[in-house]
Amino acid sequence: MDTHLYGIKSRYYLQSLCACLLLLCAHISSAQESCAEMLLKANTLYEQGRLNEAIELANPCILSGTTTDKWQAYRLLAMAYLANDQRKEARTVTESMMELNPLYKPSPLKDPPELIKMIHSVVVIPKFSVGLAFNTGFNYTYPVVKGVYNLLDYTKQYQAERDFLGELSLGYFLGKNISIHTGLTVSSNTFSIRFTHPWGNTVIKEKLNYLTVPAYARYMFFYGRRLRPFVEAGVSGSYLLSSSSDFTTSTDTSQQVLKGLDSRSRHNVYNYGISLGAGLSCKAGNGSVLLALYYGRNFANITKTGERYNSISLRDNYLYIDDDITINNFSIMVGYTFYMNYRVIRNTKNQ
Amino acid sequence: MKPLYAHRLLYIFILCLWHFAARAQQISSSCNESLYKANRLYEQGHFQEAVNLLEPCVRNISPDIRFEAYRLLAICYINLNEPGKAENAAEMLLLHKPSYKEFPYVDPVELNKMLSNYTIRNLADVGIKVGCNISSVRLWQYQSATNSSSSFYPKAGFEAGLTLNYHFLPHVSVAAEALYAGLSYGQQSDDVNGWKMHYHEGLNYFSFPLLLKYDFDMQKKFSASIEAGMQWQMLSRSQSNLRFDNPATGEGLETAMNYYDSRTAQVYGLVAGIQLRKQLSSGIFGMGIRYAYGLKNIVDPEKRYDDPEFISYWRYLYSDISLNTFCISLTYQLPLKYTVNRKQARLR
Repeated sequence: MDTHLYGIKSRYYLQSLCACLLLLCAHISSAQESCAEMLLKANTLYEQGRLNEAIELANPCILSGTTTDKWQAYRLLAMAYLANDQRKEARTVTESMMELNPLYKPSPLKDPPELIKMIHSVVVIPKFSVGLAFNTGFNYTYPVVKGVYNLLDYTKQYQAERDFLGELSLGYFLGKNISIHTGLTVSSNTFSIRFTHPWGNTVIKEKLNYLTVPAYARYMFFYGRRLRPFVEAGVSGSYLLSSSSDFTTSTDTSQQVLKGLDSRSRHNVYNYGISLGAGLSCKAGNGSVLLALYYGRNFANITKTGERYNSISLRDNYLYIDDDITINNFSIMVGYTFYMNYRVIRNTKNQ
Repeated sequence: MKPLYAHRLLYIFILCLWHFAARAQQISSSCNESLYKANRLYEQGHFQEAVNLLEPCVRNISPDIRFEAYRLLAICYINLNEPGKAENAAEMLLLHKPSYKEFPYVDPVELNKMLSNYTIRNLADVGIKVGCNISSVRLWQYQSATNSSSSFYPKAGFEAGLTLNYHFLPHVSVAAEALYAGLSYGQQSDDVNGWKMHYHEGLNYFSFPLLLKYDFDMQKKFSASIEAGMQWQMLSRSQSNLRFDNPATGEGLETAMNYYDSRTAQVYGLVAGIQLRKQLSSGIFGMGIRYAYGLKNIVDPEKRYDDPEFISYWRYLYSDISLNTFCISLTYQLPLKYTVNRKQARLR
């Protein structure tokens, strides 16, 4: 008997639950339908000049679930508030409208001139950016000798050489003018060493390939203009990916050449420094083209002092041992920064 | 006489170009104006006149506002009870503004219904790719000049380049990539006549993978894909280093070789991978892993003994190997072209 009653009860609960679910589904679908209809009606009321009624009808739709309904409601409310001369409210809803679709370009056909003006006054800035910059042949490396080590009585002459640099950067915009950046830079730093010894001349070309993680802040001038100059400063940490040396020793009768000798074991793998830059940014598409000059100063000795005398080949064949050296860079870069998303800076005075 | 003649031709050519550019701008400007006039006519209920004004001009309207002309045409055709033409215009509206359904104006119900019949799909995209890799050696035949044993070990490298995807079915696409890849590996012997030997080689390839991809959950913000295919690689550079260390003194002997001529110029292999993607602004950001299985010996066995002087001094012979590469990469792809598909049959 109890079991039978339990069965009836559970069937009753199940039926009630199904009915509730059906009602809920019907309510949700009717709510969605009604929001689209309400916006249509609100639009008609707006066109008839019945602004307060239009606002009242469109207002609940800004809480609706779909982005489309919300955006349409904000746009309609902005038009109605502007027509009703409620500028504060119009600005708030226009900002909300632009938050949903920051790249919206106002239509001279569908958007009233007042709304277009309001949209243009809303500050929309990029949020995250990804950039790609490079140069080929304009990364100059200047060696600075901190300690001289020679096997014989000769003087080494150092000369800056040019090579390439490529950077993938990620940026975050803190405001209209300030952004912070990090990323990955791959650079080839080359310099040459020449010296004359009793048997002839030796020329060494040293090439160090670093992977650098920079962290820098950029300040851009003249917000809103297509062309914007900028300055930046930051710090960097570098890891030596690979390095190689080309040796050429010339005597009166012969020439000995060794190209691409791995020199990573003779160098410290970590380096650190500071960098300064200045350039010009030009808005292009959904991002900016950049042209910049950079100066980087590194502080670590690139020579592994414990390995200085270990290479028999370099000592005996080329009469060479490494000096203590730090390197500085000067580079000219061209790049493109792509804005991944945007945010609206709300006018706090308004609220 | 001849240079003068050539100069005159050049001036005429520049004048023609200037004339056509000016004419195109003039047409575009007058067509933009006709959009405003057509909108007035539509608001006054003169639908046919609005259509007559817009139809000849719609292709010359500035691309950024062309969708507005197609929207107006669609609404006019709906009012003129020409559903076939209205659908054509609605389709063109979505092709010119693929995000229109997400952020539409407040449109007549009939147009909304018509637009809801369409799905928009990315047809082709182009992107950039950067990544790092690690290459392990698959030994085909071991060679040694001193009968000493040695072990091979993987080393890190890089790859970067362009990727192009063509989505010929809603979930299936073909991807072609053009990459520049640096692969590297090492070899070590603990006892070569009492010395410790280190050999490492860096090989740079122009790499061209061709893959078939299957995408999951394309409609959601996050999506995943699996991919498989082949890659063809063309050698651009090879650089090797050989070093012998004396364990007792810490001193070393070292040399460098360019083995470009004794390496296989073109190699190929099988590739497979997975990728996770997320819509980011107008593009798609992706992170993927890929494994490439080399099918060809990267060295040329015929040239192994070409330099007997080097072999006898340095006591080194290279072995027959192929490289298997594991790569982690980041991509950012931008849509090039969209396709609009109808869910139901066309209205006529």
